[in-house]
Amino acid sequence: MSTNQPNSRIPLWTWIVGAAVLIPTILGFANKFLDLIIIAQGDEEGAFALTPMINYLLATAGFFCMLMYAVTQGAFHDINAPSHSMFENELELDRRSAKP
Amino acid sequence: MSTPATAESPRQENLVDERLVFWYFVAALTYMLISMLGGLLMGLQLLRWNPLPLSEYLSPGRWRMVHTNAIAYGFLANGFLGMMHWVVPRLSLRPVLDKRLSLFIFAAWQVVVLSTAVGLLLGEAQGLEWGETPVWIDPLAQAGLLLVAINFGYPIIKVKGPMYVTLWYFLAALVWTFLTYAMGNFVPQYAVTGTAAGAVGGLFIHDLVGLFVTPMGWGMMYYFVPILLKRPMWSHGLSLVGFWGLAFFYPLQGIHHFLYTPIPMFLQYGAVLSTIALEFVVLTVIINFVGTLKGTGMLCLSNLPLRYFYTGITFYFLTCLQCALQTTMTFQALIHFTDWVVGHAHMVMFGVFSMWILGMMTYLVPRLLKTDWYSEEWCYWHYWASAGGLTLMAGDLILGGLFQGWSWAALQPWDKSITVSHPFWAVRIVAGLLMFLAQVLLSYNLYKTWQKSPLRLGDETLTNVVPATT
Repeated sequence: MSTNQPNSRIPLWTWIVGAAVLIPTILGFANKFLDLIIIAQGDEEGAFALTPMINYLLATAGFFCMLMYAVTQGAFHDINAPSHSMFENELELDRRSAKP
Repeated sequence: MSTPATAESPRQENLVDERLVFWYFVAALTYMLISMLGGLLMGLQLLRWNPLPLSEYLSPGRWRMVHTNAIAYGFLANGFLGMMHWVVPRLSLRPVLDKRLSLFIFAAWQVVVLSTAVGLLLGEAQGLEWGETPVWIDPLAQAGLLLVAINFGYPIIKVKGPMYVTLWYFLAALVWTFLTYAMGNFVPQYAVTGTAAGAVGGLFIHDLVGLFVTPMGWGMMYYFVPILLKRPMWSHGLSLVGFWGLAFFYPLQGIHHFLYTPIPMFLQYGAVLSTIALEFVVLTVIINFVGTLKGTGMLCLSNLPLRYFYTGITFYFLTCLQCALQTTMTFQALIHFTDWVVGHAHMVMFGVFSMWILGMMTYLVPRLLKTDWYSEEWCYWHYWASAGGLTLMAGDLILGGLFQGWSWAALQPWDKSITVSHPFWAVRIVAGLLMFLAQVLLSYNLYKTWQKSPLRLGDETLTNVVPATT
């Protein structure tokens, strides 16, 4: 194993920040979903609030599908690789452009 | 982005239509000048001087809508589209779906923006903030956004393996912008009424910023900053946290524009909480860019485009901090309907996204025209007048907004708050004039640079030269 290979382990603080972002998201989403169910079941006066809620649910469903697509595309394997390959491609394109 | 450039990789001239990128920049700057002129006319009216009193078509209320729409759909959209024509093919190593379609979209989009301006001046505005585009233009704009999504989506979808974060932002923005425009312009107009329409309007206002401008802007930053610093992003993983955080937190925030309204409180609180929660996401992004700059901070002094970018990042942090504060119910009670909000909006639209686009233009124009700027010194003047003018304007309006809020909270007569506001509105005009003159200088510099460009002069031997940019 070469010692020059980049360390592909995800640092601990990434997990911490990830948890700090995701946990409130999930809690907030669950809370909103409960509100939606309560409204849908009874309170007719508040039924107009369903419009923005449905908008949000549709948008979130779309993002969730995109997240799943990202996972299947391997977006979270060797997570820093795209950053390096982008850089190399840029240098190569500039080098080719500079050639007469 | 797992595919490295190889011997078979296409060259820049096969990937990027540089002429089209330049045209987009010219269009963007033209609309910027029109927009700022509208802002100046509106600002003069606040000082009790309407310079165009003889025609209702040129009344300040209509100019105000031209001001906001020209900056959103004229300057920002054209700037971003030009930038994407450069960035997407270079990142995906594939040209856009069809270069003829690109030309058609360019022409069609200018027709949409000009028609919007004419429609607004004729008094045909749709009753939706930031969505005042007349209803007969909405289907055309919607079709244009679909074509944009198809044209840029094709090379992005074709990328094999994990994608660079910029492409994630752009892919999402293409879809989000299409959906956001449809939601804001069609749902309140044809499907829902009353408070529900208000709530959807709130979502539209904020999603236009958060799901169109923000992903375009950050995608642009994740591309240009590493190139200018000649090093990859500090953490690509952290950048993905920022992207997915934006995706899940942003959509519900818009209702924070309608706090203390008949919209159910649980929705209002949801918007407040998601706004505050988004600050964690913003922090990850800021940390990432500061981490990337670490050890090379002095470059911001010598590299002008980089200075634009990090100035914008600083303003972004400030606006998001403001956002978290001003969406709390206590703070909102003070600043609602005051000039604080106007100052905040200018800091976001000009201080962040316009500064980024102007920095991107400062970097790309010499590469597009194959020659250095006509006057590097004017570029520096443009930066200082833009950043200085914006700082003065935003600070002035934010402070003035507090005075207005305190005046209303003390239950003083309305005209007292107007009297209090006048000095602030006078300073606002000075700041606006400074920013306007800066854009005039940039436009003239661009014109003079084009005049000496080898492309214009037909000197083919120099067209492959990549100039040493500022």
